[in-house]
Amino acid sequence: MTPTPADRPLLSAIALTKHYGRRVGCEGVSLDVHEGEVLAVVGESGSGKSTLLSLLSGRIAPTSGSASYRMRDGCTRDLATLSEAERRLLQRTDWGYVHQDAAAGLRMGVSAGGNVGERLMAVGWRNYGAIRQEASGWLDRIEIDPGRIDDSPHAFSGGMRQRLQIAKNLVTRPRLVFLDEPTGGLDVSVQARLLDLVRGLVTDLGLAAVLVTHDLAVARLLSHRMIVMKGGHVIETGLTDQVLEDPHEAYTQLLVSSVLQV
Amino acid sequence: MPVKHPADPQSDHPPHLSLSGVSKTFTLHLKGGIVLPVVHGVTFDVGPGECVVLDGPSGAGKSSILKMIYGSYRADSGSILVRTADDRKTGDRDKSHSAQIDIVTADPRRILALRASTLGYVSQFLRAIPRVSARDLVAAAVREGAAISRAETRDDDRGHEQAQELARALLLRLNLPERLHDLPPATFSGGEQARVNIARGFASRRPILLLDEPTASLDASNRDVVEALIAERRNDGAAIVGIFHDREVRERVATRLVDVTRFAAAATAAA
Repeated sequence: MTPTPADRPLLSAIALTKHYGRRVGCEGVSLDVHEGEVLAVVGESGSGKSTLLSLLSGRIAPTSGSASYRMRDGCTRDLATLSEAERRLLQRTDWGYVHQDAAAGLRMGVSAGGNVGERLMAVGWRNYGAIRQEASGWLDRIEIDPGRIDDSPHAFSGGMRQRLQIAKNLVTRPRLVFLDEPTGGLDVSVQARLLDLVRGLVTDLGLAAVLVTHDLAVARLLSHRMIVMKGGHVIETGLTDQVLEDPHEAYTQLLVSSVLQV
Repeated sequence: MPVKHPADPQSDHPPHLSLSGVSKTFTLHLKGGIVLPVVHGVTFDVGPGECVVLDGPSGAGKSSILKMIYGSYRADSGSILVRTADDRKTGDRDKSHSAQIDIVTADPRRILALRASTLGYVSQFLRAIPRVSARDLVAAAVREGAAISRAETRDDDRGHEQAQELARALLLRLNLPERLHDLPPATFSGGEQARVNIARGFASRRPILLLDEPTASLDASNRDVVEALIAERRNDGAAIVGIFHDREVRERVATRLVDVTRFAAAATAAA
């Protein structure tokens, strides 16, 4: 049987390695992400999960190994061979990147509507009215009063800013979104609302996502598959419920048993 | 004991589910690496229209067997063959095509696809999702099931309305008053949550259904409803594997008992 496009991974890493001088960022990581699939990367601070996310999203170059992405035209390209212009276009259109700190992902000096509209302009939208209407629709979708379209993100709460960052990323209908601790630093009640929103959007839009989190409950709610990292290495992989209910490695067992039950 | 396949008289069809030599141990690294034997050599088949009830005392490994079939526990050895929904439709046309998938060796994406199309799992515990109403939870399950047979109706409004109506009917049948249907079940009582979970499990018409004590927190009238739902699914040709602690329920729903005690004993002997 010849593989159909859907059988080919969207994002693929082979032996991806990053050394910072003599220190290991991550080493020998191989993984695939398919369309519509959410992969969680869990581990403690310093386990290499953020380094891995930066490598996968082409934000830093690997010391060795490679990451490749199947472009919209069906061609799979090694990220290292993309020109700077191609990489930026990919990052502004077919990918999203949601930072833990919303201020890092938003342009704080630009209005809420401007933040959302900016990405539309990057994919060729020119009609002001249409851009404004689309931005307004997205504000509504992320439960922000469209009447606040001209407000600065400075005037928004932490949870609203994070939701705005998500809308900004999804407005161009990317196929892949990188989520770096998207609920970190938010109050628990705000987290629940954000998680529900992300879960609904991922399902409705059929997004693929790489989710970095240290919160196993967040991973459980959002992800299909999971990889566990320690000391820059992947130590365990599997379906999310397999890894959480039947962890095999000592470190994974420690992680799972350390979660407080409520 | 001969296996009857009332809904599927063609004897050349393999059973829906076939376990052979399935073994499982837990290695507890945080307890000095001690190895806990769970089950060894688990072997049984479940055909269409059967309700096989796993029998044995607490701790004999009944839930572990269900979880291995669902793929949330990883078996150490053996095979768990599942006949897929797609292959049942095309089986006669294309006999050379492999009709079974082994859960023990299947890659995670294959298991996810099997869960979407073929394997349903109902426990007594609802994993509530914040802010999603009871009816929407159940309706989503209806549409998952519908997506298998009528992919074209999945996204249209009529499909949505039908799913909502089916969800409403199922929740009412399980005596969950309508005023609760629009609320997220996080605040419901344990018994109410269990009934939402059961409605969800029976809403999607997957050909294999795994039931982990679904009746444990139900009163007598709701137990009757669940027993009726099980009978209906069996008549549809579903293969059901269940755990029921209540002896009377067990005797009413089971078409066959599989004693798990011997598999647990074999695991202890093998350790």
